[in-house]
Amino acid sequence: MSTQQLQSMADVGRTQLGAMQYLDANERRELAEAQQSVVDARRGAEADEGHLRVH
Amino acid sequence: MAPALQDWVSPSLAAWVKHPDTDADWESLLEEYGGAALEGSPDAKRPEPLRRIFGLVRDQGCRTVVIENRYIDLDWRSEYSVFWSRRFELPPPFTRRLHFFTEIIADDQIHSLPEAPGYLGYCVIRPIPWGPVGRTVITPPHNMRDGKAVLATVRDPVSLFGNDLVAEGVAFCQQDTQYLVCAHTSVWIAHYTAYRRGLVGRRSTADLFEMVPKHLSHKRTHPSGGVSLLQMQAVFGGLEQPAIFYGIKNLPTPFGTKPPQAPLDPDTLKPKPAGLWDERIFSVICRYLSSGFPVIVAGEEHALTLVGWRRDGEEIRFIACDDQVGPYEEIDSPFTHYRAPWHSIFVPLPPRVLVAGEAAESFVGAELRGWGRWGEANGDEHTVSLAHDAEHSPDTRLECYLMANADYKRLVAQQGRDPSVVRQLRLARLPHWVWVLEVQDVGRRQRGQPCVRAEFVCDTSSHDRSPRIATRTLPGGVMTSPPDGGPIETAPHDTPYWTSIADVREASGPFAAGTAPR
Repeated sequence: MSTQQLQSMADVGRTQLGAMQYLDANERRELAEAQQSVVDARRGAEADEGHLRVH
Repeated sequence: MAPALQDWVSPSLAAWVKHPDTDADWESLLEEYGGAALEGSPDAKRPEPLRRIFGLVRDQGCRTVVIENRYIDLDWRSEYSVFWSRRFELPPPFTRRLHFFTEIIADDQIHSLPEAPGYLGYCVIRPIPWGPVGRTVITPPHNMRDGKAVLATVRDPVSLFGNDLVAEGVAFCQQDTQYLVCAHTSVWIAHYTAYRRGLVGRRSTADLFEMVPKHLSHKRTHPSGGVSLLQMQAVFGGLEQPAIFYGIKNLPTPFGTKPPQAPLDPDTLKPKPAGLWDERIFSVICRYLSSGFPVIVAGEEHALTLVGWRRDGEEIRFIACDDQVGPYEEIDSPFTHYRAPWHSIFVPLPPRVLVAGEAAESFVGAELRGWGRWGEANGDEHTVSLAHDAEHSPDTRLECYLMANADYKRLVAQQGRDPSVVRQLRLARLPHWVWVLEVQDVGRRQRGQPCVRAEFVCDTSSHDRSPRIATRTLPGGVMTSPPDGGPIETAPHDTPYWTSIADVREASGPFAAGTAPR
């Protein structure tokens, strides 16, 4: 990378959104939903499967 | 019937050897310790796991079995103290430990083994019916060694009458159906693996049993009526290995993918259980197995521990320690497993790991798309190409590995990276545990060449919704982002490919007691 590109990389890194600033609103919403699906995957499951027994 | 006390506790007989050579010899051993002759009868000891263990060592050229008599096993002694000693008819308080060697060893050599005895591992035999196999560590079979499979193995130091040996393999244990059931043994396997990696202190099987909250069940604890998944999670908490829990019917959908459609059962026209078709099972589980963390799955009233995986063409085969089958069982498909449909996944992890693997991978997937557009805006064709390949090329794969900061910084010097990059990464402020995400060239990796084009290191103590990326290595440049708003550092590099950290770690041998703090 050139010095200029490295500087631009650092400038991107200093912003709150970072590289995500290059995603459009739909893509950022898709990302938020994807990350939320990870959270939901763990929250909902325990209530349903927690009572199941193994032996 | 349990063996007579005097047979197991002769104080004058330390050990003896057997040299099983024929099928009949091995069958005789199996009958003595596994009760094979009674197979099918109520008195049968469920010899299948021991049969499998004998098959594994036999395939690896075992010619000597040293039988260590009157062995005081920590786990059996704990079980004996709280359960077996309170029965009217008592089994012995001692076990026997079988040690397997490829070399011929005579009785008079036991106290001073030859230089290279070809140690294949050991198997503790409990003196009880219906589950004789206790703690066991056996070397992996040939088809799972030398990079052919990813395994959560341990280095297990063994002292045999003053001889120092090391067993290297996955841990295994069988339930006894009365005190310990599959839940206990599957948890124990994950616990013993973490113990041998230096992540937690050693707890006995009785400790584990006592951690099951009795108030969470209407069933008696003795004899065990089974364990609920909630109770299992309580045990993981007590072991300081809190488990990430996944319900298979509700697996996450990473960025850039779509949730799959459930096929309908032709008879009922209702969606089939996810455990019969959802391929996300593989990516969720393999992330942790590839990092050396066993994963417990629960199916039809049974739990088993997955300890590895391997590729078979386009298919992924899980490698399991099922207490009903034995170690190193290769599962054709989770969708046709004898306990399918699987419904739950437990991943016991260090307490400070808060970010799930798919959260890190999903976030980095989105970052790669963003950096690709940055590359377009800044004339960086290599980053544009990287982002495109990561998203669209079947020859490019994003892999992630959970590892201790200390291990990452030690191994980073062995990847063939620029010394200035190594310096920058080693001095980067990182948390105790990190997810290391690599964009790999699949073909180069299969040919054993340096294959990593880009790397992201994620703070596992951040949040699933927005994982913090601590370091980024893109084509031609590396950037480290300190915590607490510290100054960002960048540096150029000219290494187009470097060796995967997983391959460097594999080359350094099984997971030893590590330097990783909890």
